[in-house]
Amino acid sequence: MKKILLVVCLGFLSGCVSTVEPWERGRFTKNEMQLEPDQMGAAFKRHVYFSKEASSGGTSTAGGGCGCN
Amino acid sequence: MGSPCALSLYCESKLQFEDLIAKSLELVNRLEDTYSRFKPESLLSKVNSAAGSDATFPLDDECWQLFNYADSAYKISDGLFDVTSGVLRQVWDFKSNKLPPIDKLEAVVALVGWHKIKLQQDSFSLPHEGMELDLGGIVKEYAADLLASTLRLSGCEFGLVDMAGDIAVVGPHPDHSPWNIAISNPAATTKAIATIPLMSGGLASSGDYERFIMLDGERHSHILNPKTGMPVKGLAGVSVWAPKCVIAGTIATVAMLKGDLAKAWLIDVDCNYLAIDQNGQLDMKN
Amino acid sequence: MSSKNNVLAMLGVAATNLVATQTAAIEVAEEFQFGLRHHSYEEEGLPESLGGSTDRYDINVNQFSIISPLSEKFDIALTYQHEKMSGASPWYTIMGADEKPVQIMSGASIEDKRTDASAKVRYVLGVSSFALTAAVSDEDDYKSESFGVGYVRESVDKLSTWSFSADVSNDDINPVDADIYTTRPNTEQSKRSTSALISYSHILNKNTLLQVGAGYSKKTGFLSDPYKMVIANLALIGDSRPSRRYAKTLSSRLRYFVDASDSALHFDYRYYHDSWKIKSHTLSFAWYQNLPMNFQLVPSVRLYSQSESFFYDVFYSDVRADGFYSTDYRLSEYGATTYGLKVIKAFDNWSITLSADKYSSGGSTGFASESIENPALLDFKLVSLGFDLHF
Repeated sequence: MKKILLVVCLGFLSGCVSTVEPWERGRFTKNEMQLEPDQMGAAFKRHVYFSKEASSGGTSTAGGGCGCN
Repeated sequence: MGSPCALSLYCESKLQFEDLIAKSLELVNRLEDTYSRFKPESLLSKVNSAAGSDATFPLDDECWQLFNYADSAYKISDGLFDVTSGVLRQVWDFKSNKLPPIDKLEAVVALVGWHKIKLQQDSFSLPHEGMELDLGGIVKEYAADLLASTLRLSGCEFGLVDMAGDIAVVGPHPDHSPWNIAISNPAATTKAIATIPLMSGGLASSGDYERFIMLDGERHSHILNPKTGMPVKGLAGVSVWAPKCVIAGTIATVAMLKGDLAKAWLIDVDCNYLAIDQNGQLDMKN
Repeated sequence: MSSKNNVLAMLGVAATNLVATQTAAIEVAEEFQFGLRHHSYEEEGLPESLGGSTDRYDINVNQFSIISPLSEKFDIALTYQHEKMSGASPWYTIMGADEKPVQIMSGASIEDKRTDASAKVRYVLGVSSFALTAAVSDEDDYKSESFGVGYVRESVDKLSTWSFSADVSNDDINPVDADIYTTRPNTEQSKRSTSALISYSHILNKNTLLQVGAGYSKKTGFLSDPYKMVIANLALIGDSRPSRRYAKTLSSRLRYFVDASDSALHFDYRYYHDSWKIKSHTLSFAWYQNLPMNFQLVPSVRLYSQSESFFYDVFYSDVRADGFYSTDYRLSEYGATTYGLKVIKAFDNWSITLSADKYSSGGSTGFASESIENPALLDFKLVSLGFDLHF
């Protein structure tokens, strides 16, 4: 699964030689096109999943722990 | 920019139009204030007047990329497109149909050479006194591209930027038909010899069909080879259209400088062009 | 030198870089931004459990955020979060009738508070930005201090971005009532964690943005749960886990804008693997639909599955040679699904956000196929109301 995904990602990246002109980038300024449109909501959910599941990380560094369970 | 410029825009409202015009003027004025060699307070004038001294200049990203563009143009033209070649004009009097004194010509040719400059963003300088940068062959075309880009990002979908013949398309007409760009006839400049339909990208021209210099009974253009300081015998003019106006402008300038090899080079580059030779013969690839 | 495609390609790259200098770069915050969230988190009670309470945690959270420019080159982001929790928590399992494990819950309802705060100062220089972060978290029995650094750099053509970040955290654990419960450590325990993350994002075309990232974290010290217990060899002993845990993550996030429907699609995937032999897959999908009158509707689904840690068991019938024991449901094999819906209404300089999420987990949800699922597997509901203001 891991390898397949990596291959897919790399294929994606190397496949994009055509450039996107500066004036074609208007969509990326929209809030809903940000990686995290709602940073507060995302941070809180990260905290919930971090304290209720075994996995954490991926999109941010670990930060401090808590006694939550 | 010293020449007539025109904006053709389709706007939703007068307010939007006025906003876009204000933005465009601000942008053009900023570029002129920074890169004009005729304004003593411009960055370019300061760099030029400090040539050969210890003074160095930190460059902002835009100026740095302009120089990087100049560097790319120098490389792809094997040194023919050289933004330091402006000093050559000092010794030429095109009206006289005469060669300048050989010692004077040699002295200015020695001041030309983009390769002599060390490309450093934090401390840029011209190494020899008398060296001069002239970004006229890049900035006007870049201004057209930047205006078109800015207008599109501001929500203007349909329009055309014409900076005294350097053209960049904002977007086609609202019915998605192309802009028809007329290329004038060297013999009768009010008449078009060709019409180029443009949907996107830019168009630029080089050459001057009306002005030439006679040397040894042959017609030469006013364009000077940076390596020899001599006028080039080749095309009378060429128009190029490419994904950006600045690219079209560079290719057109280099084609003029290529002299007899111009057509072979244009075909090699594989771009769209309309070339006119000294006899008024047309050659077009679209 | 000047062969065919080379000319157009070289000039094309240089020209794009040139025009890109005038497009939006990394910028310090231009406005003062204030955000407020209230979250109401409610765990579903356990149908089959013994002990003082079948009710699990209810948590009420108030969250604040301020982002403010400090100068042309600096900005600051402050967060503050206060949580009030009450309820019972899973203690240990016993083997019930029909070989079915039963969860024993903590006795009386626990009341606890947690406060955390963070400050992040960012310095922006051209296409780069540098950030320093400090954060604290404080509870009666748990204190944490962490420090982090971050570096972001955009490419010259502004199509791609590299991000690096690293942090370190020092945590102190002082379990309450250690004099009553002998399974709890009666001296202060500590935990240290370090982590690093690298990611690369690229604009693939005018509608698509892709980010890929890899992360690493290392935790050492007291990593057990001081309140959980295990029956092993007929004795009630404390939850006991290895004192080191190394974890790796690979992640990707895709953003795609659909012109025809004026909506943005979000696909996120994370692969997690750690030295306790837990592997997990997290797949999230969200659809941001723009609606008239500045409304936005965001349905979302999150799918999660994990494998169990090498020392976990739902009930230990044998003694383990390594001495590690935990019946914590979080270390078991299970899968979980979250369904969410969010509504955002934007006004001139403020917006209101209302969202609801429902999380449910099971031993054979998703990739998981646990024959005896942990009896404490979690279901929860989360309702959030928020305001954002900028001026």
